[in-house]
Amino acid sequence: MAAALAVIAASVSLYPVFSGLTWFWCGVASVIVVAATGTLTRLRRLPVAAVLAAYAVALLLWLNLAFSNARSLWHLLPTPASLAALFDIAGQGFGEAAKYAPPAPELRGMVLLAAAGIGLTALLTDLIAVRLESAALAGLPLLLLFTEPFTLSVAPGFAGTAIAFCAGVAGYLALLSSEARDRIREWEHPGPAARDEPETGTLAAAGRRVGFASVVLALCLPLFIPGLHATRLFGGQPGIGGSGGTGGGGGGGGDGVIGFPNPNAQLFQELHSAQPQNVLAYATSDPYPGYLQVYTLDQLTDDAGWQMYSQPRDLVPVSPALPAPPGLTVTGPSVTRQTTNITVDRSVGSDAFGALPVPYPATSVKANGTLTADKSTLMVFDNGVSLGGLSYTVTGLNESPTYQQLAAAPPPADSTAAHYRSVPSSYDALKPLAEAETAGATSELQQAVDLQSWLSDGPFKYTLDAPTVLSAPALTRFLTVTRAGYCQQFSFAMAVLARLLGIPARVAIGFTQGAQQSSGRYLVTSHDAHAWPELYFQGYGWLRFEPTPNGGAGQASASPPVYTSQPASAGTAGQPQTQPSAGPAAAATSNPLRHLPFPGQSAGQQAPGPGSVSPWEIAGLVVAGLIVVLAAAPRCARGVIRRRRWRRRSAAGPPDAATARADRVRARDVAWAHAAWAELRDDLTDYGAPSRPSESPRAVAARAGTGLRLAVQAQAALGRIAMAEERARYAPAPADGARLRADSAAVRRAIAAAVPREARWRARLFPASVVTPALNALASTADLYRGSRRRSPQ
Amino acid sequence: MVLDTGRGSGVPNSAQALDELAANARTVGTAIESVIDGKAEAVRLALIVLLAEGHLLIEDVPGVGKTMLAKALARSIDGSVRRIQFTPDLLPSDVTGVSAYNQELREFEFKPGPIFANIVVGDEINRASPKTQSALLECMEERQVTVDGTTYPLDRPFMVIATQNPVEMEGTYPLPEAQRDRFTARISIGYPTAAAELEMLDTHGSSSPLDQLKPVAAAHDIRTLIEAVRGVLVASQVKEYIIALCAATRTAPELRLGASPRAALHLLRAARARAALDGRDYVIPDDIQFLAAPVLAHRLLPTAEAMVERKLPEQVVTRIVEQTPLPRALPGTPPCAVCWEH
Repeated sequence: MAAALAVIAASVSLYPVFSGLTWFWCGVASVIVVAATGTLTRLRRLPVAAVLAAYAVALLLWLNLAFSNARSLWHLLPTPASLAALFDIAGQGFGEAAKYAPPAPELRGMVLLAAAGIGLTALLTDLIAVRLESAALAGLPLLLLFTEPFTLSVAPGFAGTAIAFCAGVAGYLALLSSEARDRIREWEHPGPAARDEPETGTLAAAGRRVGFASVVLALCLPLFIPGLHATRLFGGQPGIGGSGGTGGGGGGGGDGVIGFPNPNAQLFQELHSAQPQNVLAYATSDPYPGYLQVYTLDQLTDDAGWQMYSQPRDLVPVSPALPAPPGLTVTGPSVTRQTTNITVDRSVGSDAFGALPVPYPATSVKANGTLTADKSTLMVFDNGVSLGGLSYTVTGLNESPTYQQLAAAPPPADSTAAHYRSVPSSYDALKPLAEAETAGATSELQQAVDLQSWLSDGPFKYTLDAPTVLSAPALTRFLTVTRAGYCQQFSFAMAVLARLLGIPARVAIGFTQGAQQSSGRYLVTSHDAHAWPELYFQGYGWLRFEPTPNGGAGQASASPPVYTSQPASAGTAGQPQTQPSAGPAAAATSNPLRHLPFPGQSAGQQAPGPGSVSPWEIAGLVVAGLIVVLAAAPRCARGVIRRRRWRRRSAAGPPDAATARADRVRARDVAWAHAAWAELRDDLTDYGAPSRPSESPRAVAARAGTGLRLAVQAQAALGRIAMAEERARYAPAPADGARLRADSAAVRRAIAAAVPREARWRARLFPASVVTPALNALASTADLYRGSRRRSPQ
Repeated sequence: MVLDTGRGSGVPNSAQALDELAANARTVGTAIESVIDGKAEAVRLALIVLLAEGHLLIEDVPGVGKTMLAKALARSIDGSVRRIQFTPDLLPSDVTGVSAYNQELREFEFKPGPIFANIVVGDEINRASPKTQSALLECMEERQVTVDGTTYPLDRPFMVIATQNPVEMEGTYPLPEAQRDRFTARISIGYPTAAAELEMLDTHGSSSPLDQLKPVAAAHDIRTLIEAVRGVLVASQVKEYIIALCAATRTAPELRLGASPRAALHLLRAARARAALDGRDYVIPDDIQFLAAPVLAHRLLPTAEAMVERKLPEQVVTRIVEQTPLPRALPGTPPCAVCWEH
């Protein structure tokens, strides 16, 4: 039972990974299932292998019941189909885990993984603690749970980590103390003469000591390990935090009020904030909702990048119908009408523009208050109304033309699109580059797709640590030199290049579709802030493209639109391997998570970019480093003690110049003798032959010399050290200490050679002379604690 | 080098003098060992007690050489030696001497008893009644005899070497606690090893080796040796150690009577003697540990439970020695200038 509690408590440490609670209850259920199985199997004495199998079966049954009961026999027994579905979801989970930086939305796959992981941990803990009766070892699987948030690159508050850790520690202690109680129960006498209550004081004290030591270690260790708390663990590593949560440390701190992306702020702040903040949530009838557009930048300038209003601002009231989407003339099955109910989070403050995020193109917006819309860009403004908490309903169109349809679209009329093609002359130098990258393209769509592929899958790297590109030189530098940036750079670049190729283009700023919650609603956070290019196609109007690297190594929730992927049969394209892969996923319409492709199906997207490192590798390195540090600490401490001992002893002579030289020499000899003796005692302790406090130097030397069968020379050195100490302590004049240091080293070598190999390694790794006093100090501290709270009955 | 000996005697002490002392003492030891085969440890303890100006109690079963040891020690020193055979009818005046009326001088004249000697061998001391045993109290502690109000000092060196059979033997009286406390050490000789016994049969079968034993040291030599022993340095932490050991016997649960302050003093003196015999001019805890059982055990009274459990006082002392930590030196206390935890 304590094992189960410990696992549940430890699983709290996963809280920063997810942004909901479903996973926790699923995990708790896993633990309960495992605990129940454990209790049942304990009724009979079964071999460990059988118990293990029982656990695994029970866990599988539970996961099957919870996650794919629809395909199971009587909704309970797993069938091949349900198991396949289960593995399917697990696969999704891995994909999602690669895609989202924590706190991740509660997606089915990840919840399944969490539940399974917690269940497995419970299984291991139960097996070790109860079956193998070693509660202390059971801490190892619990440790796994702690490592998980680290490996998933969470950056929670210090207090949060501490609380989660303490919960885990408390669980672990409960485990230990329950084992101790069991032990005491075995000692209890059944006879009437036995004492009513066994004396648990010492064991309880031991438990408190362990607890105290754990807490002290837990709190102090991070202080000594540079970088664990001051900077985020994986800060600055591109490709780990999908939505930018792990960019350079502390960029966006300090903004108390969150808002929509400012068209002039270039999204920097939103993406750099360490903790994503909820911006809005929506429910939609669209199975594949598109991006939410806030602003449209359609004016390319020389030195200020993309700006709004290339056309005169022409606001019309929304009643609630909006002006017709510009350029959209086609009808048919590829254009569907969808309704979206959007609720802006209460914490969102109003900004200067008062623009509303709406899917593009919207046909009507219903909201309390007076809405206006820009005729040419369909930006929707709500003047004078606070955005926080605002709810509104948007009816919009979802265009999903096929690749062939778009490729066959006629070129736009010059009259309607001229100002969307204009490029300041300073950008002309990029034209050869744009043409080179789209060489061989036969249609505007092909050109656009080539650009998109080049930017998102080519040599470019996603990083939040990049300068904005607001001028031609900066853009050139981005495209040819640094080749690293985030959505601002990618979207600006693609829009500019598209215009250079003669395709009408503009930049939209807003949010990606966010992530679907288990409730079906979508949640959009500040990390979903995004910028993307929109290209104009005759008959279809403005269609978005996605040049920003997405997935785990880029903008997490971004995804390229369906129409940018060629059907597999159209393999004549120049770079089929660089095609975005949403196509196959889109074809699998039974998959409700189309925009979250499986890693296996989207190797091009998911493969870590150059220079990016898997979080597991980093976690492994960190854990290995920790182990190395922990393993080396006692040895280093021992070395430091030795050096300081000799140094201090060497300098121990009285500094007073008036002191006679003989006295100084005597003090030095005494000091050296004490140093050599202390070293000898510590060495003996290290090598498992500690001396008793009642033993005199002579006795220690005799015992060590004969007991360890040291060589004659070493025995002589040992005798010299003992005699020097004896004289220093008891005789009127100390012996000459000049040789003692060499003797000390010789004796240490001789002892090391005399003891068995295990003792030698133990002395090297865990020198008892260092470890034992440290533990004793902790124990005495804990005893103080015990003295102050005296005492609760066990 | 002048050392504070703790008794203010300020005896010159040097390595050479110490070596001489050790050599002299060894000569005496060798002489005794020529008589008692294979009992070097007992001989050594006897010498230590001699140099510590103490009295020795040899307790063992009959026939293992108690009296031989006593007589050999006495014989090897060129001083006056008297032997008192304690019997149940022995009177105190038989020990100390008696004032007898001198007809010619018409006054009482003191006839010194056998106690007036450098070495007094008290054979089977526990066969005398406690009354007679008590006659030894003043002699042993104050080295004087008071008869009829007149005090007569005893010669120096003065040493009582008493032998006794174990108390369980027939016809014995246990020594009073006060008397036991006056003996510096109690040793037992034990049976010899087979080889030593064989050699004894070979050599002692024809003649008594005591006859060939010649004195190797004069009484004044022994006095010099004793003075030299007083000069052996006892560091303060060693004194603390002695006190700690004695205090531990007083609180030990197995004992109802612990070591007296006199026991501590005897331990200190004996330790000095042992250090000097080793050629050391300072006492080390090993001396104390070696001597703790012989010096302390016979003064301790075990509790009834300990007696039932057959726990000997020697065992208790050994346990205490094993468990009492060596004291740390106090800062600034010579000779150990730097405090080092132990």
